[in-house]
Amino acid sequence: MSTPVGRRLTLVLAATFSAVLLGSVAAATSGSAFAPVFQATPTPQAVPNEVCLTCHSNQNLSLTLPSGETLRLFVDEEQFAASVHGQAGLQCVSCHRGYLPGQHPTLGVENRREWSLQAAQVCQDCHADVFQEFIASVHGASFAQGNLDTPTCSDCHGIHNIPDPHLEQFRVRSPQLCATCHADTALMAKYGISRNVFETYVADFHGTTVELFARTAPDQPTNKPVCIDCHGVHDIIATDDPESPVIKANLVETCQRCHAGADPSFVGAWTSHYAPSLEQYPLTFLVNLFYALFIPAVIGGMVVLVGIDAYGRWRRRGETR
Amino acid sequence: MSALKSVVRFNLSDRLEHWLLVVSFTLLALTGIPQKFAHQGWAVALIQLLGGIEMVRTLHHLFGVVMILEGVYHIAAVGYKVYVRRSPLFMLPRLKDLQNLWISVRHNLGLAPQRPASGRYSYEEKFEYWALVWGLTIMTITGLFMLIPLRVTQIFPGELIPAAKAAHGWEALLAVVAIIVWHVYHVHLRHFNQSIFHGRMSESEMIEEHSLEHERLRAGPLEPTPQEVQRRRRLYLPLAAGFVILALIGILLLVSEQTAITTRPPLP
Repeated sequence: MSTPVGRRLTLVLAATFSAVLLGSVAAATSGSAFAPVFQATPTPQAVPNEVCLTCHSNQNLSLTLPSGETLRLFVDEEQFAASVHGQAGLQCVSCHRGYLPGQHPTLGVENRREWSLQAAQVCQDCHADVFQEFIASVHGASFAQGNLDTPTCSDCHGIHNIPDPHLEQFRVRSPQLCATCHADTALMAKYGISRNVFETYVADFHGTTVELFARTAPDQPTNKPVCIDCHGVHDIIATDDPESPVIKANLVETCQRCHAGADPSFVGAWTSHYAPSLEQYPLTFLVNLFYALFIPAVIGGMVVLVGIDAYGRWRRRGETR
Repeated sequence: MSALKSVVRFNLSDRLEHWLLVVSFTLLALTGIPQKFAHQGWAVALIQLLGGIEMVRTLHHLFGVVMILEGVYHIAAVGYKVYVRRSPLFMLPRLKDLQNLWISVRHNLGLAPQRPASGRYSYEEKFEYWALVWGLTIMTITGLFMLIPLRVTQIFPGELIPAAKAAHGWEALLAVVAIIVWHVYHVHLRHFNQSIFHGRMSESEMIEEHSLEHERLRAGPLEPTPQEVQRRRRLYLPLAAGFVILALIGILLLVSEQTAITTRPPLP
């Protein structure tokens, strides 16, 4: 730990100590209009946020991890206050356990990724039901194996700035969230997964609309689906799993959730994240090929004829008609 | 028209059809082209300006129906001219049109002394007319496929829908560029031909652009007698009205599909 941080730590401890003399102020301050989504009530905390912010409101506060990565330790108080946890009246120490007056434990992690995996364990203390769903998912299985590529809670939800995931904004922007990993060429190649899922989604009816909403009116509800509407949220399973809502056998049922009365052949109207080719959606591929030749031929022919006509008129200028 | 004699080239019905096309084509292009390029800055701005994507789609569907109905009316109007008025099929492409194209190119390059002699419609006009027939047919079919995918896929394979979407977008682009290159050049830039607005064309223009038609009109073409017209109208008009009404009902039934729920179910 660098010297300035050490000095600040002393300050924190002093402040914490004085705070505890005033009694457990924080215990009484939680209270919110929010419907609780967590299972357990956080235990009353003894350290008020102000104490932590004495140091952590410093924008330059950071820590160098053994991996050489820098971990910023700055917390934006306003951002946290606006977050779903800030609104619910949670305290720093509601999540940062083990921080008591006179106690400021070290993180004990090698790198940033390990730290975020560790953080996910904290979330399950309150969100146990969601965590159970997650652990059973394709992402959770990889998480349980300690795979550092796994998205954890904070990768999608954020940390101190967690927005309400039920807000329309969160929903219409969620495909971009999935795309941060699923459009990453190197990362997807590692697992043999297509990196075109976002591009092909945006190219189709659903994604075109959702992206327009995300860009122009993110707070307006749209009836078009985002990734999680078909694939699931915390319970996402592999697309080749027989239980998957998007595997061919189950797809018509998934479509029917929005398209009542859809015939099994309606499923073919969705290009299943494939860019049209001779193997996948050949008719669409051939239509594109036809117009790639037809448009230049027609417009080219027109331009030549118009050009010749204009030249003729220019050549005959001044002649009596 | 005392000093300069003129002839009637387009009647009121023809001119009304042209206006229906001008309005529906322009608004369809304005609401459709930004949907094809939905993620480019200018398209997003235009969609915003027109009231958002849902409004743009509603307008597009509305003017699409207007254009389809114009097509239906056109079929009835052509039928009237051919059956009741016994009008020759001036618009049919003939070998002479290809010859005229060749003469015109040679004339413009200074290789032929005379410009081609055209009938009622020149090869440029015929080309544009049939391009429009082709375009309107493709756009109607592919547009309806996208509008009522649930019904279409009860009969046809699902892949027709994305294929229709691809064709609709490309054909639209072709139509807009063709109008800008071909139509704007021939009737605005080369010479502002206003006959489609007031219906008349001066005799000198007729001699210049449509010499064969001018000769035909001077010779006094054989017109059906008022009695003949009256008799054929009594048969044709109810038939045409029935056709238009049936097409109207058919289109309204087709476009009324509830493709998707309007409000999505709550997140699981």
